[in-house]
Amino acid sequence: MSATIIPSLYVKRLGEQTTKLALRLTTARHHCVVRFTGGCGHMDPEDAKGMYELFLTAFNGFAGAMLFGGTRMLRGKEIVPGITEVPPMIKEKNPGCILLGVVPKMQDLRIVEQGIYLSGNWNDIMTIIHPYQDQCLVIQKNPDAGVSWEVEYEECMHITNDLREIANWRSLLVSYNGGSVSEKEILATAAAGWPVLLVEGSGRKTDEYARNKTFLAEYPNVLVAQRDASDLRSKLFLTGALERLSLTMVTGRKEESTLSRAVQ
Amino acid sequence: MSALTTTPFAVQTPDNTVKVIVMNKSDDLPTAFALHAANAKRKVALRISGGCGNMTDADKEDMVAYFLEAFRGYEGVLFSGATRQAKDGKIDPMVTDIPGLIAQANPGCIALGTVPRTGLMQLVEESRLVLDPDGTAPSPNQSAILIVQDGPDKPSEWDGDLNVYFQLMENWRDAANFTSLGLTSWNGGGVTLKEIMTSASKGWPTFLIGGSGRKTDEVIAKLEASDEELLAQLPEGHKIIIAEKDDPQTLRDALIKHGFLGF
Repeated sequence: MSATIIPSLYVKRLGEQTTKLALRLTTARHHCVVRFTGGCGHMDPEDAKGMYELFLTAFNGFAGAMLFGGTRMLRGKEIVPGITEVPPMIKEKNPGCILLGVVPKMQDLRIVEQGIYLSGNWNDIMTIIHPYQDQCLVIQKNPDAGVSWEVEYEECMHITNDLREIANWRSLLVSYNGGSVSEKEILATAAAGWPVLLVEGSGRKTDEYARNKTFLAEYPNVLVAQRDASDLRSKLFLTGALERLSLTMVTGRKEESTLSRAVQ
Repeated sequence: MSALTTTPFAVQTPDNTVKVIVMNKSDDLPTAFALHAANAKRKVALRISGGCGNMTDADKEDMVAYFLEAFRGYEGVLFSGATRQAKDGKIDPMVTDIPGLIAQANPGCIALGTVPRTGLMQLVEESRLVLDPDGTAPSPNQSAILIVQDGPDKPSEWDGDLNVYFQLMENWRDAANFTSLGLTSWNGGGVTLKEIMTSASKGWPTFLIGGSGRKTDEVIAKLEASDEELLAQLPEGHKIIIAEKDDPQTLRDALIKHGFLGF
């Protein structure tokens, strides 16, 4: 990550309000919040590289807000590929978007050489707070007790609900791969009637639901994109996650043309 | 003035609802209320404070016309108390009606209100909500109102919402990139005086309408007399601006100068 960014760190008790944090998201130019869920189970480094390129191409020009897990996995000082690397990469390429990480505190936070340690094994893979995000919200039951993984998506749904209901924003849940917690989030978001985009070919639970015709018929708000940048990008436009701007060109007389700021 | 000719309790907001949020003074600031400000077209916010003591019906109509002209084209957040008064089955216009009336005339402007709960809320007539046993109605022309209480049982003081609304405005500036915060004052009593002094102490543009009456005029008189006690409470380089009640252009010019209008 090349650009300098100094994340604001918020720690809150489960159920507390975080007005400033929600207000910061509203500074994004495009009024759409994209939540990334999923995982990288059964994925090798080459698969991960393909995943990064897929999202970076598809999200080129993104100017909304993003919610993600807010963590980074390390083996020693080496970054372990994962879905939580994707939003920071999008942020780096598209500095106008706003990135919020939501981290459930499972055990005591510790300050280590690599940053703020959350969980894992010192001698193998450990998880730290991702250093590249605009703001990070750590949620705890109290200073002594942690919360469950599900709290991450529940909090993201709460923030999304506020932005949708009060600030009239659009939203999109993008799901890639993922296990049982991602499944809960897919189902809860689909049931809420909010847009969901499943990346078919990414693996595990996302594929399971992307290929479930009964599920897709029941929830027309759930769309499927192939694991292909062009298809994913077209679905991002379709859901309003990427904006098409109407520009008025003045060349002697007024001409109206619809251009996408993001189209290369 | 057509907006004032409806029945006094008719809801007049863009989506025909008024969101009502109740909080305890000790609670965190409510996100569900703060985010309404994000719907304003311009990131500026003004508190309209004051009252209508000693004013005739004609004075009140003039006050409404004054603010509508001064704020013509305003597209930010307007914030005031959240009450509505009625008299003889009609609206009895108050300062708290001003934000909603300006919002109705200027798409892009968002009207919000806060009010302390000074008595037990009640349902009257056909289940209409009133804020106290005197029958004070919640404002029906603000997009959202925040009722601040000192716990479920105890009545709040009249200034019980001041800290909350000043904090909300500062959060809009600090977290949502609002570029200008300020306060206008018309007439008013003891709570208005506190609001004037708090706004001015923060260094915000504080617009006092000269000739509007009571505490607003008292402060202006003290400023003009270089009252030492008053000046000692104000920061050096404070931004108290005096506009004239008989000339809305004086307020309008000041609003433009301080970044609230004229983009």
